[in-house]
Amino acid sequence: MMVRAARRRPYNRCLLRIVAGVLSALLCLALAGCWDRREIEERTSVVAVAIDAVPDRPDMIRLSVQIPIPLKIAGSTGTGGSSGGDSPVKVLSSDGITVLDAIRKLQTQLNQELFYGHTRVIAIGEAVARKGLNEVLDPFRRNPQIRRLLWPIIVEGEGRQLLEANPGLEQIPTVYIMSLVENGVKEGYIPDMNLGNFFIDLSSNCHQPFMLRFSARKEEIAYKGIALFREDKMIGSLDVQETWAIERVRYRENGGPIIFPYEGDSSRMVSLSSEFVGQSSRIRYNNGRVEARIHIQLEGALLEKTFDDMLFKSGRITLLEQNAADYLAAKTRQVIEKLQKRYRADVIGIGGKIRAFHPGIWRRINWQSEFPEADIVVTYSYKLRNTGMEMD
Amino acid sequence: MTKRTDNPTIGDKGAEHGQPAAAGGKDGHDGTERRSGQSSANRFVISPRQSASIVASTIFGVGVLTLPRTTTEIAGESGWLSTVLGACLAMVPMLFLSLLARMFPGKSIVRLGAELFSPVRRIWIGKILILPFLSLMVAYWTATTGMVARIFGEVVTAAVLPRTPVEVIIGTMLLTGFILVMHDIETVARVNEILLPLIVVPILLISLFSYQSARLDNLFPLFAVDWMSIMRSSLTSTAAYLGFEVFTLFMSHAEPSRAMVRANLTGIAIPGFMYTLIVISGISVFGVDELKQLVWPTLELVKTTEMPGLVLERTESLFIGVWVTAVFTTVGTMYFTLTMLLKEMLGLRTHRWIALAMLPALYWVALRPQNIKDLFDWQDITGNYGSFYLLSMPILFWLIAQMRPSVRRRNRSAAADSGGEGGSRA
Repeated sequence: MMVRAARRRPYNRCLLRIVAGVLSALLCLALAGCWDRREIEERTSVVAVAIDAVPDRPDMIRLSVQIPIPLKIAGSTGTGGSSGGDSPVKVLSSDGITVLDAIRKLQTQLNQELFYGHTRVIAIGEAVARKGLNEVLDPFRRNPQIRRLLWPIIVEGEGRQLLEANPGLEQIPTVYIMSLVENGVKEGYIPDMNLGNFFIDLSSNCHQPFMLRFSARKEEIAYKGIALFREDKMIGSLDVQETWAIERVRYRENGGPIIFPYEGDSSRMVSLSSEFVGQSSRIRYNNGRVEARIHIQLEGALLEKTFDDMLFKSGRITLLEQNAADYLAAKTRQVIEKLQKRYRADVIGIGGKIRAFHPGIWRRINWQSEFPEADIVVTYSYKLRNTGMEMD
Repeated sequence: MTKRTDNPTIGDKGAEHGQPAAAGGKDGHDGTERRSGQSSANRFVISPRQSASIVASTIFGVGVLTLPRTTTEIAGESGWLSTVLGACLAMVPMLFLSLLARMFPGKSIVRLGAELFSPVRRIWIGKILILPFLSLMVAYWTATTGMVARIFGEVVTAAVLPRTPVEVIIGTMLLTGFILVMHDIETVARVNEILLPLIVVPILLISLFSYQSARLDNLFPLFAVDWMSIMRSSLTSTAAYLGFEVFTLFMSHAEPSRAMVRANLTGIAIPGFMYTLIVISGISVFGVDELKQLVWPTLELVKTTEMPGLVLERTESLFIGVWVTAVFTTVGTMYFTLTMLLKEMLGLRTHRWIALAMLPALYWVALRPQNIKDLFDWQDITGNYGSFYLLSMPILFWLIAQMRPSVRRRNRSAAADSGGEGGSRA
């Protein structure tokens, strides 16, 4: 009975010796240390990357990186000493034929290896974006260090400007940009367009991708809406308010405050907050044309009004609500018109709705060519829930 | 001795009365162990829970990293449906294997097959006839263990340790498996039992957290493709459930009760549930088009996940840490059953020499694919042949057992008096 035999002599001695020998020989491998060991002070963390076109060299790109200087990043209490007004970050640039070529050249200026695990922003100059992003973004897709949750941003002018600008409110300007965007996303007035979502839109055939757009000057960084793409090429932009239409129609988000003239009179302005409540859509295919009817329900509070008019009169609040809804519908119509006629790019999410909920229609049409012709109407209803602390 | 062989009978009664009797069977076994410690055969019996753990943790391994892509390739948005159907499909052979284990208590596939294929008194005929089946299993397990170790190496080099040679990672994984294999069946069963919750709980948590970036629109239309494609995709996703076949060896130590059958099916349901969760979350986060672009979609999925409250910024390191355990249970258990199978085929006394001899062989197999595309092709091939063979073989054996009541009767009576222990010792 072999099992019993094995139990009494659990390890055959000769076998044991061989195994022990092999294992101890393998211990020598450990003497070499760990292949990938790299202490934190042995790497240079890149917090932001910028990609720009090089003037008069169309075949080259300019890559810039923003590197925080650990010594100058003080704890919250000021350390004084060396930091005398210096920027706690350094921006380095290098030109190359490809991204990796530029990185290679950049590396020759640095004593430690660049590390992209903490990269939070990729700033892309408009000129590169208009030429197409597939080539420049490929290494960012491949490199496992790159996180899909970072923010790709189109910068008006040069991407490097965004890296050099410092509003002075945070030690590292990139952290400032990051929290600006993240806060906006949380409140629902900046679309959640991180790198991962950009890649998803880029590979899907029902949407055209877009990216956040920023402007940057010396001490000022500002969110400016979104940059529109067809495939991987930038074709235009929408401003902040126009983006809110996309927020509400596609992402079911709040968007920002609604500021509109009361009864069309621009001397009598009203501001309302907006909170997304619900959306219903009906999509049909009629006479060779997609017909989309989307109705969005919002509610909110009165934030300001610049005229005296008793609100607590019958019909006043209803009129205000009706005004707000009409105003939003008109704004959205303009945005859709712009997307359909000028850019022919669906970023408003109708294609996604057709693909997901009307597969029968989706199979029959080619949405990219159909979108400019589609009949899309977005209507709103607004409910004023609260008029604030003022009684009138 | 006699007490031990009583077990199956008690277990059989358990089948009629359900839970309590089965528990009684287990108690009886404990008593035996205590008594036989000094006297006669001391045979370890795998409890139903251990059996379920072995099946579940062997199945759950490298397949999970690519599953969202492989299932949606054919079935599109309905990919998650094919993982569910794949699990149901894998339960069929598992059920028949468990039934065989009840019919032939104390016998593994080697002995059981030989008895099924031989005339009453000439067992050697069966032993020869069963050889092709067994060699196929040897080939399959060698290939799969090698591939699993290789995929493990590829992922670790690609995602976390870019400079470490893949050979070293494969080598350490196989060596760790080897250390497990040097122990006996009891250790393997207990290791699986202990590690299973350590794998399931964190991975379940991580995959639930990844729903935060999900967009439900991506899951629609629910039935994107025709039924044929869904069936085809279910067949391919069955390959992700391979690993249940290790039970063909563990069955000789399984408790022949109805609880064991149920436990084994649970063992498939556990990875089935996790796979389905992960595929649903993969589809809803990425959408079908983006999934095609990702080599390791589940890893990317984890990378887009943020733990609430920024406790952990890089969830993927936690995931890979847990996943190493999952791969270890797969490699270790498959390696173990491979050596046990060879041991029983060759009629050796110990499996340890074979384990040592198989180590370089597995390493060699793991290094065969030249690149990642090669590797995926290999994986497809072993997966396809493996699922075809392992889906049909248990059913075939069970049918033969049904057609030969004499063999069954002999086993039952043998279990009842004393011949049963002749079982797994060939």
